[in-house]
Amino acid sequence: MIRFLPHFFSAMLVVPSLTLLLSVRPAQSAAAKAHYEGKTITVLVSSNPGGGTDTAARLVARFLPKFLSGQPQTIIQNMPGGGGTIANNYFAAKAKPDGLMLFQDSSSGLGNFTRGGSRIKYDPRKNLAIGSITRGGSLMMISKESHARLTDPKAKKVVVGDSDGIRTWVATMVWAAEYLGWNLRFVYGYPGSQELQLALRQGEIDVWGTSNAKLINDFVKAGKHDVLFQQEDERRLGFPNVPTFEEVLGDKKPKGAAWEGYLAWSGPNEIDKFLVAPEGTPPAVLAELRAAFAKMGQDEEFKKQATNFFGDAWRTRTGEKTQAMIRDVTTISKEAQEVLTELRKKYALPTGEQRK
Amino acid sequence: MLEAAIEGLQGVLTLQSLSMMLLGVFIGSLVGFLPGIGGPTTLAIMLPFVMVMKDPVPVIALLVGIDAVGNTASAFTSILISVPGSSGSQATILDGYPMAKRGEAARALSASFIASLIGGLIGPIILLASLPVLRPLVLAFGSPEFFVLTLWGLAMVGVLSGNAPVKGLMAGILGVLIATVGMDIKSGIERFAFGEPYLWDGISLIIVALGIFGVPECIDLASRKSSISEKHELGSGFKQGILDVFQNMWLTVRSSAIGIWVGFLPGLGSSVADWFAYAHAVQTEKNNRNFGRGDVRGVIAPEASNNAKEAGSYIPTLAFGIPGGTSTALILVAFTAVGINPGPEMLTTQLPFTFAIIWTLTISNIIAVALCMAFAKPIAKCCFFPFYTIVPLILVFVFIGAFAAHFNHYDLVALLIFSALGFMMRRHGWPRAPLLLGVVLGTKMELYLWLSYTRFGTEWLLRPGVIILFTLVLASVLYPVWQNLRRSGSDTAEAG
Amino acid sequence: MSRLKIENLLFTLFVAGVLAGAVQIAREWSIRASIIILVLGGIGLLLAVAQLVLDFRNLSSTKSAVALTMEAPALETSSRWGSCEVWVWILGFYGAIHVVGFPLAVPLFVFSYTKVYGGGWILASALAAMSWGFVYSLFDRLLHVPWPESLFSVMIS
Repeated sequence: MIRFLPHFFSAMLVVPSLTLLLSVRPAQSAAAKAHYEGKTITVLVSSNPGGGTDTAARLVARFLPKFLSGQPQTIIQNMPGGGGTIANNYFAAKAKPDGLMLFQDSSSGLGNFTRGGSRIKYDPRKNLAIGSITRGGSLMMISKESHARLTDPKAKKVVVGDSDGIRTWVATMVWAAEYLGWNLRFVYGYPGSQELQLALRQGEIDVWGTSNAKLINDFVKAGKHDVLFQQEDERRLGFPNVPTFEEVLGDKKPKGAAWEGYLAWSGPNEIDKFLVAPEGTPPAVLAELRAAFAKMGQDEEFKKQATNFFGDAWRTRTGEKTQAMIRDVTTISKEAQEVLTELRKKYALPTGEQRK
Repeated sequence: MLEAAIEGLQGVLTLQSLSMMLLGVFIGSLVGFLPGIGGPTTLAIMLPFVMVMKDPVPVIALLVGIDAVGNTASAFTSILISVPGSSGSQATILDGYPMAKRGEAARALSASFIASLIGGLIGPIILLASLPVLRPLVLAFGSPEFFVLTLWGLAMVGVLSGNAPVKGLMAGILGVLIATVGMDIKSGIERFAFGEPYLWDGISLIIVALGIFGVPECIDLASRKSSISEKHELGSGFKQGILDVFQNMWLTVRSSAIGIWVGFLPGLGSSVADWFAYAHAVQTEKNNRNFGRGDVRGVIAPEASNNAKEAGSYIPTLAFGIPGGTSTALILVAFTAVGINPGPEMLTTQLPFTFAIIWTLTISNIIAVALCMAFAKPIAKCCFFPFYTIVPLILVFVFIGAFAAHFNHYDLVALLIFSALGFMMRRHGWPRAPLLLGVVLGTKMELYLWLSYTRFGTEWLLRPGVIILFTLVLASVLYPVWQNLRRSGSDTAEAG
Repeated sequence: MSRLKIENLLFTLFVAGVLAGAVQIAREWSIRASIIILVLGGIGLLLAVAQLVLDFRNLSSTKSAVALTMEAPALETSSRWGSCEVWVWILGFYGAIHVVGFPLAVPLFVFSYTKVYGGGWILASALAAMSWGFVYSLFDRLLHVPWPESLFSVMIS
């Protein structure tokens, strides 16, 4: 029986050697006793590897330690599922307030919280925001062929495509249909942005929103699509000639509960990808993290990488500002909620109700 | 174009790129071996290292190297212990494992590697040939066309049910129901989730495959208290396996074509390529009574196609910057980090990088196959080890693979449940392949039917693409029926 | 009437039960979400009836089961308890993971199984050590996997 050992040995030795090869650690700078000296920060990420949230998390994980005392190691822990709910629930239940576990979430975690439900076991307002990276609002692309039909109620309806029908930019199209009388219908159920891109190119859908500047430029260069408007309240650097949604609405912009409902739906996009520490993190540690995040945003190498990934419209926001925005975006009056539900029902979009 | 090809090759043949490629092949092979830890996890691990590299070509060599070869090494576990090492090698189990039990493991392994080699070579060639027509090709497939392709998958259920069609069909339906668990994106309803966030994303395919195929065979070993192979010699199977591929070259080429076809369609998912090729082989090959019992063609077809599909998945990436799957999605992230802009420029200003990808796909496949061939005989000896060494290691392997999929301990519970199901199905003679196919295709079929109907009403039935594809599907279903009729006709003519 | 044939029938009933349950649950959803389940479940239930008829007929026939094509031969066992034995081991392993955690359960399981069924001390220890080394280096060092908390670790903390 022992003669079989060599075969096992050769297989089993390979993996440890690989580990040694790959666990190269950067040299640690000599520093006086610092909070993060010799420690490892785990960054929990609410999405799969390769997605936008994950990319933001990896950027942060790579650059943030440079500005923390003791230059800690960082590990990414992906925990996808439930649109961010699983990671949020886990973070709320398990994260210890010692600054060693941070959470990179995206606006859908806030959206899910606002929609509510029995599986939501977290409150994002309790987390302490360290900072956020926003990639810039979405821009709406429309095929040239269907552009003319937008304002003609007798023509075939223009098809807006989405994955789950609750993206923040969908709010702009719903409000445009309602208050500008645009001739729209919504088709959702596409598995992801790959399929939506393809569908837009093929003409299966006529309108789609994305914040990916490179993609938009590719489409525009190909000559078959226009950019309708942009979601943010200020024109982005790369698109100075594209009107904002509010400019397009003009004096037809609704007031009161109707506008509040719009902000509740579309608002979380402004926050986009944000990094938080758990409730109860000591103020000194939080301050150090926030300061490091702010410095990171000014680092040249970080800026270069971020532009590589997100285009040129990204920007960082401080922890304090992010915290305030989270509070704003997760509070909604009953009237505004009613407006939201009514409009979603009217345009056959998901309202969050489960039964017939 | 020739200059770009040469420039690409020169970039790949530098010492740095070659060593990166070797590392990538090594890692990719190791990872293909381990169930649960697939391409995506590995690429995710590689990302931090890659993001600090400056020169794009070594990055291409490393990542494409990892991606290209996962399916080659996964044949080891599929054939030797009936555990699918990756989602691309599931169909290989159906004939590979019976061959191992007969003492023909070396033959199955060498056949699978050579088939992988050929598939891995044909893939990039077709990719190259289709560069000019890449964009119209990708644009031709909309939701209706995808739906008809999934119908083809439905036809496979019949093929894979053997002589128990009622049970096979029920197994397929059960598979589709399993696939419906989770958030239904088109209605916002969580189906069969019973309030558990774990179930929102559905049940992972790898857990189902491990439970249905991996554990029951292990139980069989433990119950029989014998080694995997009842015979105790490797024989000259190794050379025979190589010969087998050349004797079935036309099948290998057809299977590679199916692989690329499936690989290039971003909507279909890479787990179908091997099933489509396998079922196609069963439908079209003469003398198909031994499929499922250790027919070497049942190993050649899926292995050729699952290597070809890797090249295919780069087609939408190169045409539009749309990733063909999770692995390519991660590769695109890395490309962006080093300054390669995936999109139309890949066919114009960045053409040398495109060629670097094509060269890497080709060369890494050759290296991987050489590596696997070198280890085939020693590793195949494990078929003779006593069961008490193999069984605990397989179970550990399977449990870790299940856990490593999402690092969620609920996956272990799911594994136990599916192991029980797989065990029962095996015990009571229910075909298991249709269940797996149902899981893989079920929701896609539903989704594309839904999108086709919502978007086009009933007009989608009249699209030229739909009509052409439907005719092809019908042909592939009716062809074996016609063949059978012809054969029985000629038999009666001879007898009469 | 062999025990196996009765169990065949029971398994078909089980599958039919699962299909019926799925259809019942799906009836409460909107048509968008439920149509595929209702249609396929309905077809499945009809097929289940057909299969039950076949199984009943098979109960009283004396022919042994025809081997399936496309599938391995039905499991045979050599010990009196059939495959219960190995199921106990599998569930035991799962339990051990919960009690002492993955990194400890793996070598424990490998060692005990190998030893109990005839392996020598050296072989069992070597296999246990290697499997532990594999798990530790790949999952702890390389992947930094968050192992689920085991009862053991909760007790000592």
